[in-house]
Amino acid sequence: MPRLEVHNLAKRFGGAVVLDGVTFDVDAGVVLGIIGPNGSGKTTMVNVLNGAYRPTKGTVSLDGIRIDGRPPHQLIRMGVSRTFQNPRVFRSLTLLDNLLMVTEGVGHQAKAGSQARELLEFVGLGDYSSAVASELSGGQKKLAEFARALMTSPKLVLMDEPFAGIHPTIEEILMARIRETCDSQKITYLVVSHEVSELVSLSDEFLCLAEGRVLASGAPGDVSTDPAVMEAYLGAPTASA
Amino acid sequence: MRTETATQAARPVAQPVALGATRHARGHARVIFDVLTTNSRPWRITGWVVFLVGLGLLVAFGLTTTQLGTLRLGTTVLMYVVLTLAWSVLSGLGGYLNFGMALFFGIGAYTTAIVASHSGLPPLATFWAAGAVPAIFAAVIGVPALRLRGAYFAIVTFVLTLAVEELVTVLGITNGALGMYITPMAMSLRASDQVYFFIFLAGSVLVALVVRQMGRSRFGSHLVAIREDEDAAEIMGVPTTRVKTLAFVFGAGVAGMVGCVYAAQLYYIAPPTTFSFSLSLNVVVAAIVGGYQTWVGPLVGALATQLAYEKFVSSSDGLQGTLALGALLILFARFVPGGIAGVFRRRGTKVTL
Repeated sequence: MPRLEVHNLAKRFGGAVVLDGVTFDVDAGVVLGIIGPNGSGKTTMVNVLNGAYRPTKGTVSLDGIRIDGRPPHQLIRMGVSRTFQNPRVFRSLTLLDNLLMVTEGVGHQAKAGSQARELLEFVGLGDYSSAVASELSGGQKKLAEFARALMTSPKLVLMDEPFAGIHPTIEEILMARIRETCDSQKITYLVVSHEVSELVSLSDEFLCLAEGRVLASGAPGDVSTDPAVMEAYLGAPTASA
Repeated sequence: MRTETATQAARPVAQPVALGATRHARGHARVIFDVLTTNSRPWRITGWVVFLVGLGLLVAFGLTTTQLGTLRLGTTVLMYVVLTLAWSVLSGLGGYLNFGMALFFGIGAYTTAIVASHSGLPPLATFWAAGAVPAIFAAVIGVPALRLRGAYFAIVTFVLTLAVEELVTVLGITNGALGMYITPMAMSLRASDQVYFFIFLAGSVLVALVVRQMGRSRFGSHLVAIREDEDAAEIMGVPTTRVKTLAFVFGAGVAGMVGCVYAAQLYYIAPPTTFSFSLSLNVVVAAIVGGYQTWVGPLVGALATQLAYEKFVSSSDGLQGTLALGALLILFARFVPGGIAGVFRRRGTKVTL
């Protein structure tokens, strides 16, 4: 059974059709890279998958359980976590509190504390657990957000533009940690990015969205060199590009 | 294009890449207002010493003073300390500006008057009812009202105060516009003034410690997350409705209990004086002037604003005083957003109440 099954997913905002019958599935322990031109519905899909938007139609299942229409705070307990295009860490909280606030229950404070410290260490922010988040750079905020997503013991992590505007050093850490957790904990990642070459090296599978539909899917190398995909990106046939 | 800095580029992958680490070294000197929230041991001890000495002086003052006017002013200051602390949980940590503390204060005062007159209990013994009724009321109105954000929530709390005041003015059980009398305690004027001073002093200490603990708890982090980015907080699994409502209920319950003591102290309450907008406003002004990002702020703010009221408003010209306070509020909101206590806090330290 696939980790995530998306069937005929559609999302309309008034008259604007943003997602139009998207169908795909991903197994556990797979990084699915999602590319597509601006306005192709990538971020909307992330927002639908994590419950921020209700789909207009279609179904989403996690390990065979329907999750479409559920609110984000339920989904996060079911194992769907995410990061944002512009990092949304809580600026006046320390990094440790940023991680701890997503954990529920009071009985395991000490365990959660040590888990949070380990995760910060894991993403290279170990020395800054008591620093307030507003003092971090943009890239560090992305790392902190990633650690926060892992703090929820996720099955599926949705990452919207994790590599946009960050330094290659941080990008390298982020990619390595995504790969590691994907392989060792069988976390499934959906990574939306415009950094196609990075995404090709990170991903196991690729999906290209255009105008709210799946334009191509398959092996990263194949999708990224698909003529239709290149045309969608560049707005012109490959030959003339 | 990616942004690059020399510092980042020079570091190898395995090393932490955060900048400005030295600023978080422990043990740096912090000033007295912040000492109770710092992790540094010597400063923490100093803070507690200051706190306990201050408390000791207040106790000595309450026991020995013969100036009843000063004692009553002290009682009023402490009443606002309690109200402002209670307010600061939802509004300081959570960022939901509550302009309706008088609503819960008034409901508490009237609960005391009604329960005491029907049951024959001494007014202070209705303490729990005076806390419970506004708390339940807050739980009921909180769920819809807290769906509104920013100014809209503030407006709802303000308008609800007016509405309930109108209701109390026309209802028979509250004796309408005539107000209600409460049987005073049978003791000398000085003894009774001392009792109320100590009730509010004990209340201030208790609520301060509770609020301080809340600020340090998961609950406090959740409120701060709601203040900073409520949508993200919800997406990351914070039960936002529950957290906001609990904070609202806490403030309402405490305000109701304060209303009980107020009613017992004055032994006469009437709609315009209990559901008074100036009470709600005083709390907001005290919080802004004192600073509501630390639990020390309300202590400072209540003292500063009540002394200012005493100096300006009660003395000669009411309008002059109100204008002065208004100007003060604008100046603080514009130039000293962290309040008096905030001035002494290091920038970038964790926001604990």
